[in-house]
Amino acid sequence: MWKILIGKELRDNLLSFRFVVGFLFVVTIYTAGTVLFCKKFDNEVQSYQQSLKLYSSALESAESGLDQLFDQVIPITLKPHIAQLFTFGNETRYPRTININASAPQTGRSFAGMKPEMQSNYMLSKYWDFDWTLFVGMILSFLAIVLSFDAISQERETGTLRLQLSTGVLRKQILVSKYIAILLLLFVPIAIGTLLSVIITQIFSGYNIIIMYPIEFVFWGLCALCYLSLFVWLGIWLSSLVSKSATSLTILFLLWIFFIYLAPRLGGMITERFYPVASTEAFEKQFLAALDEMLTKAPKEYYEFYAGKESEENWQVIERFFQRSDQTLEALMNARFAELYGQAVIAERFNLLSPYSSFRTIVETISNTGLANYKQFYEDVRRYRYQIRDFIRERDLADSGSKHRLYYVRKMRSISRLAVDSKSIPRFVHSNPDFSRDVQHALPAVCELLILNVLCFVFAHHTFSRMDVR
Amino acid sequence: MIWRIAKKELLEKLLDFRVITSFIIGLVLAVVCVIVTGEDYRVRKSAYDAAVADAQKKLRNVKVFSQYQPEIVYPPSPLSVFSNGANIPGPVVISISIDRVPRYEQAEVASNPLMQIYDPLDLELVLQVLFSLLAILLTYDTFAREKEDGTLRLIMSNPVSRTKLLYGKVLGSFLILSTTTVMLFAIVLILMPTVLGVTLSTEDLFRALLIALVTLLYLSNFAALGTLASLTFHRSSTSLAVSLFIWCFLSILQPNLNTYFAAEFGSTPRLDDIQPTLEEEYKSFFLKLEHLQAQDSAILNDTARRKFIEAVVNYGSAVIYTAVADADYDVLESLIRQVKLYREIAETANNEWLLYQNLYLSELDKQLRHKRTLDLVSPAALLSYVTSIFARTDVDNFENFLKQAREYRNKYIRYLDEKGIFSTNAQLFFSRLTKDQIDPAATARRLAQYEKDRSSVPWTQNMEPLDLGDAPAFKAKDVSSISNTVLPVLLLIIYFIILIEYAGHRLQTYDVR
Repeated sequence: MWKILIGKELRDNLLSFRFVVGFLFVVTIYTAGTVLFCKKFDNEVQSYQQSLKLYSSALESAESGLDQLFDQVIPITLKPHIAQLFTFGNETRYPRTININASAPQTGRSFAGMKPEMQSNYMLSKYWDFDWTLFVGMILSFLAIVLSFDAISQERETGTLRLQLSTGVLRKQILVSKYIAILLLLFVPIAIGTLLSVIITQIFSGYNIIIMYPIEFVFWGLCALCYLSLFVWLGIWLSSLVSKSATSLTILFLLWIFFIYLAPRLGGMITERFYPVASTEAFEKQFLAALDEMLTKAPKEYYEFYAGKESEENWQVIERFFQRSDQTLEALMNARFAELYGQAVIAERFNLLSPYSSFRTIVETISNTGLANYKQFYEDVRRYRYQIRDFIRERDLADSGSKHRLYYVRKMRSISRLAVDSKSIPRFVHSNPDFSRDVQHALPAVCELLILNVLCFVFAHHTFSRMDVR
Repeated sequence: MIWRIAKKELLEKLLDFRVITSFIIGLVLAVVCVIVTGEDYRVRKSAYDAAVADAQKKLRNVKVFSQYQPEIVYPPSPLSVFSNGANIPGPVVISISIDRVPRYEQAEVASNPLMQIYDPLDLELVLQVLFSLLAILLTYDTFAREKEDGTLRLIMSNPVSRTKLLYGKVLGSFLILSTTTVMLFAIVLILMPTVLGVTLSTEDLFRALLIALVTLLYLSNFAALGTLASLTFHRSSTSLAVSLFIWCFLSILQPNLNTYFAAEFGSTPRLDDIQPTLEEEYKSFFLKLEHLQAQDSAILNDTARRKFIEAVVNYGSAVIYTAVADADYDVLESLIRQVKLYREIAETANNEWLLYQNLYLSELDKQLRHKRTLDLVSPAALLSYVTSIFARTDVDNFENFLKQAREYRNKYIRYLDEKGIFSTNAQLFFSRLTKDQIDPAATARRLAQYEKDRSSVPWTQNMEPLDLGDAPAFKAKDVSSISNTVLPVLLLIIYFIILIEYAGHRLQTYDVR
């Protein structure tokens, strides 16, 4: 029975005008969109290569002496990867570079070390990124509505629903067969579009996303299925709720516009209005006040040293003071990041209002391009700063001619001036994604999509079961 | 006859479910817009007022010319609720100084770089997307449904020309769209003064009216599109599907595609890459400065003097320069020799600016022009552009402000030149004391007190501020770029005419049975 029902649905719709138009539309968008993706990805890779050069030359400062490395601002850039085809994510708009300085934790303190982007053209408005999440999230959900808005109502209008039910087919069977058929229909353009996309990406960039990220690809498929299924149930529910197809289409489209296009903009606005962060000036004041407080607690040896009275006994005390200062300043930086990050997380939570945003959040977790991943990057960079410091301390200790004073106050500093081979300096390594952290971050979004799916199914079932088919 | 047909359409559809639902959603979003974007404007306005007051206060407290650094602030526009335009985060404070030509320092402005991804909502976007959908939903079945119902035959059996029928129907849809749009505008214009306390001038109200008019022109295009679709396809469901796909492309995809093409297919130069070249421009000047300082090394390397100079480096305040100058005439003379070079740094800054323009700004400008060219075939992008001009939030408005800031800087430098700051009166840059009045001991005491209490400014406290009555004042000229709206509006009218004419042509051969 199922096969017959589903087969019937497929035959009815497969060569329908709207499906053909929709299919061509989707495939064209996938193709054109992937070419645009490749262009942007290429730009990102080139940009990353430039940043790597800056990173290498920063490390090469060690060749002029260890003290040069100690003072050097080292820029660390986020690496682009082909998994961004799943979604570029919001990460593509975050600062790609974080600056660190072995001597001073407070480099770029207003933005917790993040280097605000100067890559974008302020004269142009913001635009979306063309990635699979856009194709599925916007275009395919649009197609899902177009295919499902009259699933029940059209059959009622033409009278075939009565005929079907009079043959002893259960209402539940009709409902579920329609659902499965529409999903299978949607599968056709997605599959072909995805295949084209993978081929185009391979040709342009040389990477094959399915081979490189097979597990992520499967998860991506499941998410896309879950997301589109929501729209199909919604469409079926509304088409059984209202009497005219045109009405159900109107409601569906208006909902689509609101929740997919307009609502994602609300999260940011509401968060900035009701959960503001300290402005750059305010933070600067706070920071300077904390710095002052730290200095008031400085031991008298520090002031003696600063005034020019150096002595062997002073060093140990001062050394301990500087270590504590470094930790305090590092803590202030991390607190600032936590504040900025916290605001972004709240905005993301508000955006759960939109299933599209939730979908994007989940895919960001899969492709490692989201907020949680960025936080990981930030933490890795701060850890790397300590790695560099440890390296410098080690090399400095090896130099017997040095006074071993790794202090951030330049006047009091004195470390080894021996040249160091830059190849021996530890390199920054992006740590592997932490699965449990990712799951935790995406959990609300996943729950939301699942719950909405269940709700829409329950409503559809409830409404259709009681519907007057005459 | 046209009016009668239009009236029928209006009465039939005005309280239609589609219109009511769209209007309610539009209303909810408009209220959210007012509350959030409007509130944002209010906050920016008070920050702007505070920045202006602060800048004026600083000018009233200028004791020596090194403190004379005017600041000008870019005013936010109350109409940003209607259209965000370039969405420059504010307040943008431009400092006028000798050594740097004012420009938009993009990185300085936002508080949280992690929130830059969020583009706020404005009324224009709601209308562009939501109401254009409404226009399609109202008109996709104009003819197809009447044909299916059989009422089209009945209408055509009356002596009504087909053209008049078409115009009547389009007029009817236009009236419905006008009613909803105007109501929305009215509600926003009422909410702004009552809920937010934002007052709009007469000119602002006039501009809001212009925004409403161009929005209606835009929506008419979609009404015409829907009507054309209903005449092209015989079944209303087909006409709907096609209109919706076209709508999706025109109002959602195309504006983004245009920006994407312009941004990613040109190469955006990275400021980091050209920064070294820009800094090179200043190199020769700094070499000269170092040379001068080397010549005065005997004075500047003396221990007691060095201490003062270190105070300058550590505290970095023009006030401390005054302390140094007030304490020691030899140091003052050395500084005077350096100030006389400042005229040259103004020239260097101008050269650096030309380089910045050539290497960076001209590339950004090129991308913008590409986008504007692509936008000529995108009604949605044309609407955004025109509404941003009317709302005074477009890029050109901002760029004009920056240009005026640069011109003001030229006036500022000329003023300093005329006052002899770079020549005979160079001393006034740091100190107003004569040689006899300089008292090193007193200044040493004041400096010690300053180290304890940073807010105290002891040495210039008893001085009257300089009289800067003859200094040039900055007056922001409202250089309206309204002439730029002519072509886009003309294009929207042309597109509308083309659609209507084609629809008329199709109607002539339309089988009404």
